[in-house]
Amino acid sequence: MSKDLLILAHSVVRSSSILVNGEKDFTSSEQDFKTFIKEAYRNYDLKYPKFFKMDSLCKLAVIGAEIVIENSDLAEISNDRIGIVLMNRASSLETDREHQHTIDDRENYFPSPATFVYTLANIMAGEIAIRHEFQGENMCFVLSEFDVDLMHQYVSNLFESGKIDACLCGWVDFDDSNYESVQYIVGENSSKNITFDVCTTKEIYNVK
Amino acid sequence: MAELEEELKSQIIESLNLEDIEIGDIETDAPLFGAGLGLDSIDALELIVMLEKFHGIKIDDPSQGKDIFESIKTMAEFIRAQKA
Amino acid sequence: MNTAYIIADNMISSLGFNSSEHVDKLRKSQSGILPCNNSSLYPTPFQASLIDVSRLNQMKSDIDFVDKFTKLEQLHILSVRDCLSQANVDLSSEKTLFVFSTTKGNIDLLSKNYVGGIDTKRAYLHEMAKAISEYFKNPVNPVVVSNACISGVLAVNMAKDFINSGFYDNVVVTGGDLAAEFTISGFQSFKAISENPCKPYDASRDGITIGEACSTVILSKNANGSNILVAGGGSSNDANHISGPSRTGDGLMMACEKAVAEGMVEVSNIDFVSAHGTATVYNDEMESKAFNWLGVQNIPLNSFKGYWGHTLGAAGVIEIVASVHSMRNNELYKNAGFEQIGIPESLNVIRAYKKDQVDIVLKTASGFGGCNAATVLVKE
Repeated sequence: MSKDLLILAHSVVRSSSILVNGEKDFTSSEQDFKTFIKEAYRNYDLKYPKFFKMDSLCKLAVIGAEIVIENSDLAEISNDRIGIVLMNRASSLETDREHQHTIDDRENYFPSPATFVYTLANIMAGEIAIRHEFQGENMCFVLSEFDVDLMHQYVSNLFESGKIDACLCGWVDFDDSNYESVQYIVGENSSKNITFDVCTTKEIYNVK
Repeated sequence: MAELEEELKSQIIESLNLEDIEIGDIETDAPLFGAGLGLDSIDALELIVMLEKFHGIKIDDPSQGKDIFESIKTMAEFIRAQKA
Repeated sequence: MNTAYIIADNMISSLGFNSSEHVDKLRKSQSGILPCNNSSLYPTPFQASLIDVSRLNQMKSDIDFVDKFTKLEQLHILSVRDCLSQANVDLSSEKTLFVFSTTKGNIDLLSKNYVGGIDTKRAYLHEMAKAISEYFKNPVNPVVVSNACISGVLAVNMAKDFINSGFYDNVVVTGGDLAAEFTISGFQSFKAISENPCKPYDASRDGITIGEACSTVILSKNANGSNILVAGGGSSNDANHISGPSRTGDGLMMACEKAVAEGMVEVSNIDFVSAHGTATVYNDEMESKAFNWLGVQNIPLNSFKGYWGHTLGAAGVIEIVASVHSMRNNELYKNAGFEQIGIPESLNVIRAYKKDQVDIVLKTASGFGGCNAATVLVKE
């Protein structure tokens, strides 16, 4: 490897609070996810009406991504060299259940295209890509838990093969009102000296 | 006569998750697509489901939607014609 | 250093339960798409490519504890087992990884009409993966790639990377998705399903046909008598729309360029393009622009969707396997369902089965979420 890979910025969204680079950035007394995430949207002033059309998983992913991207200097990097590699446990099951509900009863059978389109885990990457015009490598894994080793292997490989200059990485999971987003940007140049390795990623994830 | 129009506005806000938009913000003759409410191709398909679910009208060919969903006015006219 | 050989493969779809049954039908240009009038899948009749249930019931009878597995899991087990009969791979080794490619996995478990008696937790994709990898006594945590319709191509690309990096000696990539009520109703609500068998690139195309399939490839650092390598890969995002393809083809073009560069091949030396070709109006339009931009418009091209429909998470894998057979046999398969070109920029769509030298293949896929992926296969 030519250069050490660094973490440019990281964010954690869980239990109605948001951490940016390890510091508490936003908290809400609202336990309900839908209300909390709307408050977060207003707090960060996204001005993005499409946000309200998204399912919960995508809303979580978009907020978590927004704040790491804002805190990373990606100006020198071409958009087609910025990848998105995400993982989660429940895929899109939350919205899958909602779509299934619309077809369970033949007397009340109204499958909705606006729901169905969110029954794929990687749509969250698509939403982030559209908002930030990231056109690089895409990957979405579904695993029993956040696999920091796999993330490290996969993303390091993308850098080594010369396909990307930066990568938005993350564990973004939403299941039956439980949610968790840990996202970080990996790149080659940063004033912060946070090495992208398995140990550091675990520390970022495990912070309470 | 304007009852149907008002009903459609509230159904659209609900079905398409239009946050921060109220019934009074949607003009009856204003275009729904393009600049107006910022609707896209998925919204157009969702409007087809809405017509079927709330008004019992089935549209099989989505290309028909272009004229029907031009504005609240055209939608209401279409529904009235179907029911007449 | 590139040593990711394809050493074993299997295809299960409406065309049969192994690769040679598929090749027979591809040579005869025989499609497996048929009218389907199963109201438990959709209230009105539709076209689909379905796996023969009675044959599955025979085939699965010698799976140990078969009742502990869902239909899709049984298919994966049969598919992997067929591969093992072709190559000696130690699945119990820590240097062997299972990679699953699926969009919806055991989605049939969510239906309130489900009667199979399998724990609904297996609707979690990683639970399905674990059940299958444990059946084969593999000690490594399985990986699931779930990235819409490019999942299979991404999974094969990843397998190649992980072999070339020395992380694993063998990677079993197995892709599968069912023609489930869940998926059919969703695509119907999108008005994306054609009333007729799909017609990729044809002037009268008007949508996809849903298919179900399960397909496996084993990649190995050792040739095991194979001369076909996964040489390059790439992916991209259109960053345009979550369900509509790019209007310019830029995303697909970029994914292809990366795969071609990594595969160290010249575009002009490609012998066959195994395209995605879903037969929706906009997807095929987009591909025609991307392929002309890339410069492969005169190279023989097909979409296999006319044979077994759009098999979602299985699509990339089964279409790579079919392409491998095209290379092994030096033959090109007809683009089933195609009569008259109907795309904005022309392509050399294969009109009839023919023998031809096939040494370099470009395989592509595009999907919801704006994603695109490409793989380059090379014969040594």
